[in-house]
Parts: sequence; structure tokens; C-alpha cells
Amino acid sequence: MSIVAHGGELNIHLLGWIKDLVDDLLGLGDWAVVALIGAVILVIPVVLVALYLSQRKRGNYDALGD
Amino acid sequence: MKQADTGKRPLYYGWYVVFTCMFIVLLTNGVRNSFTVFIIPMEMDFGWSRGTTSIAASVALLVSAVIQPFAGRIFDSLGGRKVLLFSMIVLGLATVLLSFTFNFIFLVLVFGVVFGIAMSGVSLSNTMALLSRWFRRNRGTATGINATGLAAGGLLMVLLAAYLIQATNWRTTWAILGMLILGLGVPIAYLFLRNDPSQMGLLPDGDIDTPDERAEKTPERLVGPLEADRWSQAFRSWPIWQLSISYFVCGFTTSIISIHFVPFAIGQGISPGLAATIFGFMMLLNIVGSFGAGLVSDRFGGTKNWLALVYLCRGGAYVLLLVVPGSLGLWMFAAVAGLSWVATNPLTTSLTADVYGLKALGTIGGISIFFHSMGGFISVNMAGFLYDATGSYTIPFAIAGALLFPAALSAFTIRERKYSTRYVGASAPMGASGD
Repeated sequence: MSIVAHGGELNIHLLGWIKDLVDDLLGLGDWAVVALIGAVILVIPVVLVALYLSQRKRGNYDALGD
Repeated sequence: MKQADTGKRPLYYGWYVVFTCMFIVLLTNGVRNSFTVFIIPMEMDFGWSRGTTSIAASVALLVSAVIQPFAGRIFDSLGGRKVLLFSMIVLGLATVLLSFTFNFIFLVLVFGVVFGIAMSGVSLSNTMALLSRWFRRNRGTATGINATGLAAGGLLMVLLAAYLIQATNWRTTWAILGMLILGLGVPIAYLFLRNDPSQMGLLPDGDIDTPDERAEKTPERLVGPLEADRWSQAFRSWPIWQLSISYFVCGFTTSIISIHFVPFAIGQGISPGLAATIFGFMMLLNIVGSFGAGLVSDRFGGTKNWLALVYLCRGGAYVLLLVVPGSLGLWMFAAVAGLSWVATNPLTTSLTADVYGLKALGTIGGISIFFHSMGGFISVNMAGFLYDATGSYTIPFAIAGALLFPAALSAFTIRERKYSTRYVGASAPMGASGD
């Protein structure tokens, strides 16, 4: 399956192991883990927008967009 | 949009582009790699065999690899913003469409063809080419950060998909992943992606343009002797062949591991849990290696030397894997190979940009990725065939290890000091040693 991907592959054995580990460590329900991973993924765009807005507030960029 | 002069220098806008690209790579490659967790539930619903579902995945990867140079050509013509945005919209829609899968042909057409074509638009090659326009001195660092999105996406998005399938079902999960691309990735890309710094009145790396520096940055000073207006010009010179051949070996030696490492470790008498742990350790090191390689090449120069070192170390890792028995050999392999796994990516891209310039970088990078993909395709199938024939991974792994030493030599003999704009007509970075 992962013949082209370069470093992004998650081996199915590894996936099973990580899922077991997450379940053992956190003991959370499926939706709670979904929310947790979703929050981690959201960090990048949220930080980007927040940083941009703070810089813009200081007058460093004059407008968002061209 | 301009960065105003408020005394204190603002964060260079290029870093927003870097992290936006990284986020795009994380989302899109993550969704592609998530296909793995859809295989079993879709097979159960439709009664498909493993070979049947694998066809869709293989078609997607092959289509993406073959289309890549053409996507790069469009990138060179239209600029990164349009290509990335359009590809993400198509990718998001195709992912949502997958929730309506009703037969195998539909899956092959939507995931294999449409998704595969769209993936070539948002590929690492195109995001790297875009970032090369925003950075010169920090090109390795910027592209290295971008490449970390691969490993991060491979982990986070696949886990997200796995838990979503458990919480809902595979149809809802495809729809949610597609909405993530459309609702989160596309707006972020729309807000932050710009084709190059000149669109915002900026210079690469956020340099301040004084009259003296302006003289240093005239096109005559920054254009190397192999600057290519068209991709075909590049392939009439040696460095791109040296880079592409070594990149072929890179694909050969990473893909074989991604598929066959865990079965090999289990065959060595290691438990599946420990094998997965070692593999996970290797994946985490991908992030460190990718970022670190770009950083050291920017700081110390001599990109081709670092690239050769990466191939050399990976070759050494294969030797350890075959020579040191048991889990110790596996851990040693994981430590060295993990650091080198994605490290070739920022180094190859920044060296290509430094030697051939930016005009045809999308196409040239796309062709390099094609070489990489073909290496992967050949190695995975060869290893499977040889394992069936011999009952062991020794021969395929030995072939992979042996190929890495000529790959290192190929990279090392690139005449960077003669052709790279880092050295030609510009001051070399501190401590630089190009050749």
C-alpha cells in the first residue's frame, strides 16, 4: 500500500500497538480520543491565526489577503 | 500586504507559509495514509479481498507518481497558491465522495484516480518548491519543517481515522476527513499561501533590502551556471541525474522498510508489540532527522556532503540490521535509519533549488519524486517476491543496503561549489565546505 509515501506510513502493527497504548494510558472513550487528537491537529492553524492576528494588531501587516 | 516598519522586526511572513505547507502535508498525506484503516471495514461491508482493496491504493500511488511532473509543470506556470488550493478542494471533495462508495470501480476511480491526481498537486515536491521561493539561506530549515508534516500526519490523521471508525463507521469517517480538508485546510491555505515574497514586497528570508544588499541580489549575482528555464535543460547536466539516481535509491530503501520491517522483526523472533515499538521509535526520529538535516545544511553549508552522509549512515544501518542479531540490531537500525529516513527530502530539494533555480523547480522536483516512487515500487515488490522465493529478507535488505553506498558517492560527487547559487556569485555560509 505505502509504496510511495516517504516517512508518513503507519504500519498496521504499529497502529494497533499505539491504539492499545492510548487506551491503556488514557482509558478514554472513542469520542474523547477523537476530540483529543482533533485538538492536537488544530494547534497549528489556531497558533498560526493567533500569531498573525497579534502581529497585525501591532501594525506589522496591514491586511489579511492581498 | 506589506510588513510595516514599526522598529521591531515582525515575524517574517515566510514562516506562516512554512507552517501552512506543513499543515497541508499533514492533512493530505495523513488522509491518504488513513486508507490503511478503511481496508478491513470496507472489505467486510462489500466482501472484497485484500488484493482487491490494495489495487485502489496502488492505483492512487502510481497515478500520483506519474502525474507529479505534470503537476509540477502547472505549478511552474500558475504558481503554488492556485495549484495547492485547487488540489486541496478536489482532494477534499474526493474524500467526501468516498463515503458514498458503492462498488469497487467507484473506489478505484475516486480514490485511485481523482484522489491520486489531486495528491500530486499538494505533494511534498510542490510545497517544497513553493518554500524555496520564500527562503534562500534558510531553505533547508524551511523545507525540513515542511517534511515533518509527513510523519506527524501519518501518525495523527491515521489514529484519528481509526478512532472515528470505531466511534461511527467508515462512511462517516471519510466524510469527516474530507470536511477537515475543506473546512480547515482550504481556508488556512487561502489565508496564508502566497506564491513568493515579492507579492508582498518582501525579499527571501525576510532580508531588509539596503542598496548594498540590493547590488548583491541582482539576478546576475544569484543565477547559477545551470539555472534552468525549462526542466529539459536541467536533465542535460549531471547534478540532477546524480540527485535523481540517489533519490531512486532513497525510495527503494525507505519503502522496503515501511512495508517489510515489522514482518522481518517478527521473523527474527521479536514480539509484534516490540517490533511495532521499534518501528514507532524510527518514525518519531523521522521528525528529528528531517528538521535537523535542513538546519545543519543551512548553518554549515555543504548540502551535498550532508546528503551523502545521510545515505552513508542509512547504508551502515542496513549493515547493522543484517549483522547484529536480535532486538539490538533492530534498535540500532531504527536509531540510524530513523534519523536518515526523511532527511534526504529537504536536502535534495534545497540542493536542486540552489543549482537549478526556481523557474522549473516544480517540474524538476516532480520528476525527482517520480524516481523516488519508482524506487519504492520496485523494492516493495522485489522484497515480496524474494521473500516468497527464499523465505528470508536477507537478500532484498542486502541489495537495499548495497545500493546506498553508490548513492552516497553519487551525492558526494555533485560539484556543489561550482554550480550552487550558495557559492556562485554569493558569499558562502559560515563554515561552508561545498566540495
